[in-house]
Amino acid sequence: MKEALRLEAIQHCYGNNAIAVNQVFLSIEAGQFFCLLGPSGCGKTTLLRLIGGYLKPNSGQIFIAEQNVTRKPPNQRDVGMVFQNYALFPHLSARENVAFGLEVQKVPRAQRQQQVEAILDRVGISLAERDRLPKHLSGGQQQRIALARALVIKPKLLLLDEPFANLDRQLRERLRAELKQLQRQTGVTTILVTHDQEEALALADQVGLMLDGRFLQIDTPTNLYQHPATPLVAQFLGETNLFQVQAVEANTLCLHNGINLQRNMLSAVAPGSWLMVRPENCVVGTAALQCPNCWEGRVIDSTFLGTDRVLEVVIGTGTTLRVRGRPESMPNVQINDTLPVGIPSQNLWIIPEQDPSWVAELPNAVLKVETLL
Amino acid sequence: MKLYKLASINLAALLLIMPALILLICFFVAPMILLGRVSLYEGGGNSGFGIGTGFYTPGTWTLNAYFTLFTDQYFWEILTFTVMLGIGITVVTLLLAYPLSLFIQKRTPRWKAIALAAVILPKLANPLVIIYGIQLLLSNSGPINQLLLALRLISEPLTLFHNLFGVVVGGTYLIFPYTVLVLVTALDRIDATLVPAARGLGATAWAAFWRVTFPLSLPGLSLATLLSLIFALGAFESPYLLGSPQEITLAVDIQKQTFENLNWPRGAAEAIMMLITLGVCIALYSISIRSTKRLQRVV
Repeated sequence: MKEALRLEAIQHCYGNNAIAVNQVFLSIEAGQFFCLLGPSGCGKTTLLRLIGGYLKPNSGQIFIAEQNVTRKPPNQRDVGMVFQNYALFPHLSARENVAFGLEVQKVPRAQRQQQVEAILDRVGISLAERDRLPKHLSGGQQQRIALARALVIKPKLLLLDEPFANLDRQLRERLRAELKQLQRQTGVTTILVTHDQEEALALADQVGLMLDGRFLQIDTPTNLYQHPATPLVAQFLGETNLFQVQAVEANTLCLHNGINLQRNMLSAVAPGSWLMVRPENCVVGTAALQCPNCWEGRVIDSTFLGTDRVLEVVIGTGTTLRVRGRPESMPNVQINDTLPVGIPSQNLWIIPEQDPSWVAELPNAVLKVETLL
Repeated sequence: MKLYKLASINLAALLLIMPALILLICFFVAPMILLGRVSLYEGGGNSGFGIGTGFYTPGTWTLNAYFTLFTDQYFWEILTFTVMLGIGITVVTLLLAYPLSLFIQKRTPRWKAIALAAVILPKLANPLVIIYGIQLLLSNSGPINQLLLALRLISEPLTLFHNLFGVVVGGTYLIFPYTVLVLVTALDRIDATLVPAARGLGATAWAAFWRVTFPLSLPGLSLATLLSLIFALGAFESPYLLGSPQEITLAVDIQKQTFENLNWPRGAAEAIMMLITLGVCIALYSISIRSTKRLQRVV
């Protein structure tokens, strides 16, 4: 596969010496949809601007389609960018906005017009809307025009900076689907910056999870969610139950608070490793009795979310387990009820390697998981 | 109930504008009316430099002052010169202020504040002090002539004031800070991501400026032009102190007619004519701006 983007040891500091991007390496294959995911201030937007040429790295190299563009200005990089606020030119109509890139690149008029109309057709801007100024168009339409404007120059790389941040939820989901489709049809290598993990998981072929100017893990959405490389990744994505293994005895893994797990399915686990299980992978009620790992638990909290119900259940001598399931699978659950809780062993994920710095930050009991932002 | 509310809001609004309104009526509208009245008196003749009788003849109503004005070649020359000078100073001011404003606007907030303070600082001094300063700078033994002489670029001092050059320098200097302030504010209002967006689409720095920044700065530029024009048309200090008898503006002549010739009706009539000229210039400018298609879209 051809490489669309390669970053080598990119480092960027702002004026106040705060390191925004710290020794980042990245390689993206042509045609991929890549999401840069992370909380605000993690350096993801800075990284995007470095790729687009709007910032210059302090050190490191940037290659776009095998060409070193590290010192090149944005207009010589062949990169289309959609800004968070869309940055549409307020004095130009929708059509003129889209034509801008072709005009400054001296594309002949006839060809230009044909390409502009074609891309506007594609993103679904009606003929009547094409002569309007951006301020007379809705947020969704503005976003489509920004996308068309970036795509019409046939960039080697499409950069999107939180493109859905200013839209309401319904519209966001619709445009997300359209973007995914458009990306698949055009095959343009795309990098999207977002703090919305659902968005990243839904759109991307590969997700790079960023924190403090570094990548924690770069992987497919499924791997990132099901097989996180570090406890921190497990914490960031979705909700999670994390347990540290205290001791390994023959067939049993000993956790805190007198919880023991049957070893059977689990291979080589060393003390100090972490076990992760997603709340939706835990079972409650009679079904739990069939699990090799089953405990009597006391419900301390119960939240109804429409499609799901989330329970907080205390097992052992005080370990809280978060359980998520269909409301109909746990009817009439009241606080202080006791009920069987089980973890099917195939749903356990062992986080193998331990960077001591991560471990120090994690409390011993269950980690309350906060979604990003 | 609703009516009561409406009335109370109007009362509050009235109270808010009252101080400004009283000030305007007492010190602007009333003097204006008085000025109009004075221009309609019979002149005071040659009655002893205005001491005792002089200035004007009370109780008379006549358009004589205007008739003499309109038939006076000298008046028309001054009027033309005033308008030409006003346009000239405005153009020079804008040519200097626009690039500087672009530069200042792109600085970090801290440097921007320092730069703007530096631009406005001269305005803290009295205009007369500034003009005397400029006289020193431009004089035969002043630093500019000294430098040019030392560099052997000239063999004898250049006359830098008591001519048109000095008048334009002084006039520009006095208006410049206002223009920069207006332009920097206007440029600040342009979304900072637009130029990067243009660059990303393949535009060179120049194309990004010409196609994005410049058209979007037109409303600010037109406001700055109008402001400069108003100040420049009323130029007094600069032509009075840096000019010669060739560089007499209406403002200077009004002063001369009123306080030297003691011909109050003529002075007042010239003042009225100056107001009309100002009004006509502003109106012409506004009409031409409003018909600019490009500007219409921005505003």
